[in-house]
Amino acid sequence: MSRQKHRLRQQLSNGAGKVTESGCIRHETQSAAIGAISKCPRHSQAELVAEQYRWYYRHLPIFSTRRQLRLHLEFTKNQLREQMPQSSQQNRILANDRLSADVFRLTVHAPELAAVAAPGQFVMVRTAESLDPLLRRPFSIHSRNADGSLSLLFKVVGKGTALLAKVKVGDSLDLLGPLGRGFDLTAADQPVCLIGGGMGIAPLLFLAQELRGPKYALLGARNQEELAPLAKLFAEIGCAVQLATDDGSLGHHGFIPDLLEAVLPEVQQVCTCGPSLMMRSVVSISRQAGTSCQVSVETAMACGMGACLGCVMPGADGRQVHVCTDGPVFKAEELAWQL
Amino acid sequence: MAALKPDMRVKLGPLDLQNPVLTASGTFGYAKEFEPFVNLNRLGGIIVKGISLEPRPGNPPPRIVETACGMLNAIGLENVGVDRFISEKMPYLRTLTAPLLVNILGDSLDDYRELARRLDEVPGISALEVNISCPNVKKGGAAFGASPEMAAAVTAAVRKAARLPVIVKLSPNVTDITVMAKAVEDAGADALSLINTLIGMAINAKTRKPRLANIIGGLSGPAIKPIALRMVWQTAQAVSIPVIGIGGISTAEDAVEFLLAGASAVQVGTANFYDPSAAEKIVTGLEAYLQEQGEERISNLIGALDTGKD
Repeated sequence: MSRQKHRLRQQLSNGAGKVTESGCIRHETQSAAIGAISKCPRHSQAELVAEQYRWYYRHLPIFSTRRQLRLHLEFTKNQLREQMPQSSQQNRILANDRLSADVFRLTVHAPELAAVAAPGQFVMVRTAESLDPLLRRPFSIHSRNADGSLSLLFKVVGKGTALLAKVKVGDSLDLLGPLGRGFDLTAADQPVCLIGGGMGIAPLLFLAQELRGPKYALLGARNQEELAPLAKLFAEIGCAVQLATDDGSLGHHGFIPDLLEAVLPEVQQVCTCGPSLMMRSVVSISRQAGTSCQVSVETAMACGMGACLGCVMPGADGRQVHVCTDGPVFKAEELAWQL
Repeated sequence: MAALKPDMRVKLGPLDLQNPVLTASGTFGYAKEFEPFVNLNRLGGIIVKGISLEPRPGNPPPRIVETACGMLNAIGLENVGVDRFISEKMPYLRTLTAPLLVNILGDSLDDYRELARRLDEVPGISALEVNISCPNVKKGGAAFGASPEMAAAVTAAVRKAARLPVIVKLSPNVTDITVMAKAVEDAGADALSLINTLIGMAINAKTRKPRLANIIGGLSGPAIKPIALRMVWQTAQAVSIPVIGIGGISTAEDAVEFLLAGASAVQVGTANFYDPSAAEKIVTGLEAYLQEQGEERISNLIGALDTGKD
């Protein structure tokens, strides 16, 4: 049920929640259908609606009548409108895998949170029950897994992540989420280039899981040891992967944006997350090529829900944006870049 | 046999609260942010982010940094300004039954006077909390909080401009907080709230740079609780108006300690950040504490510290 609900959510968000939007059986997602069919002069409005229903019938065979389907969609829409982040201390840890020297993948059973999470959203994790470290740590969701669990990817950089590295299977994790605005999936069926550096690779896997079109993954990290286990995950879900390492131990020896220009003609948009220098370069290259670009940014934050106002960044209009509620994913043109 | 539900009501001068747990300004947004996590109407009162006459953008980032058992912030009083507060935030806040207290701040006496006058006409507000103690802005704020004469002048101005109860929020960054407290009491404040953040600093040894763009910021969280307790205790003895205790309260036991030290109510601040349901948990915890102790009324705890001296 949760996966189905999620799929509906995706469709509704893609179609701006309008049930009367068109759909098409030739396409894997409704947004693809809307995109393609609305441009097709041979389809009348009635045909669009008819095809939309055929699409739903094919994908949601449990609905035997149109009325049932409509009721269900209305119900789901209302549910989604009321969808709020949740706070739970009792999320069982299913795995804490050490991927390389200081990089871990933490998998936690959180089916309700997982069901409503969207790529690019994040969770706030309490790393200790004690008062030090005091604040939660923000982590973007790395992947949603078939069993309703979520994975987080992190590198040990300080007190909080050092504690997280020590948590064991069966322990409970205190999670708050899902929070923030994720990636805009309106063009989820178009070719996309994902470009991630270091731990910025984390949200891109979840995004790749939800994309339906051709996807290119340009991934960079310090060395082969860090990059190889992550690259494998992208290849497994059908990404065309290209790699770069700082020390040249795997793939291109150098900066990951170096590889972007060759891929740009193939894609409709770029989604990036990583060190600010890298993202700045990606934004600059995409802008020159006129390709739309979404960026997932990282800042320190105390609450993750718009209360502390600690996580600001300069926005394009001279005002400051709040990363936790306005982001963490932005269209590149919404932020101020010193290009 | 089920124990009788204890009486959680407290009086804050002219203000009656269903329980003594309030949320501290600047840590609870405009309350709506916390709706998914807290039954807002179970709280003793809600104090929203400080409001100025004009919207303020706040300071550049980084604005916050975690420290041992606490955090430093230099938000710089970012807020939507009084007009948008009234038009955009008040409609939601009015739907709540918990009393709403509005924190106000300005750069001049005229600012405070005007804010008080404007908000006094707005239905749904139970009291004003006058911020004379923010350490993170260049003028106003702390300047008013550092001199007894200025603090008294602001208090008198707000008192004159508004019929609402006036609470003055004091800065701990003074030589003797009781001098400030008495000055504000004499100027007509109905209650005091203390302490605001302590001015602090954090440095990154590797980069040799300050960790906050503003260089200095306000320290909050459990790290400051002992100082806050001491100041509440001293102030409660020095004045006859009610005192609201603030500073590192994260559990019901912390709240009890402040009540024993003489506070009539408490504000939960930084704890809201790492546990968004902290304030409601403290209400529940206080009820449990009273039942455990066989205490019928929470008001009996106020100032009940046993120093063994008399």
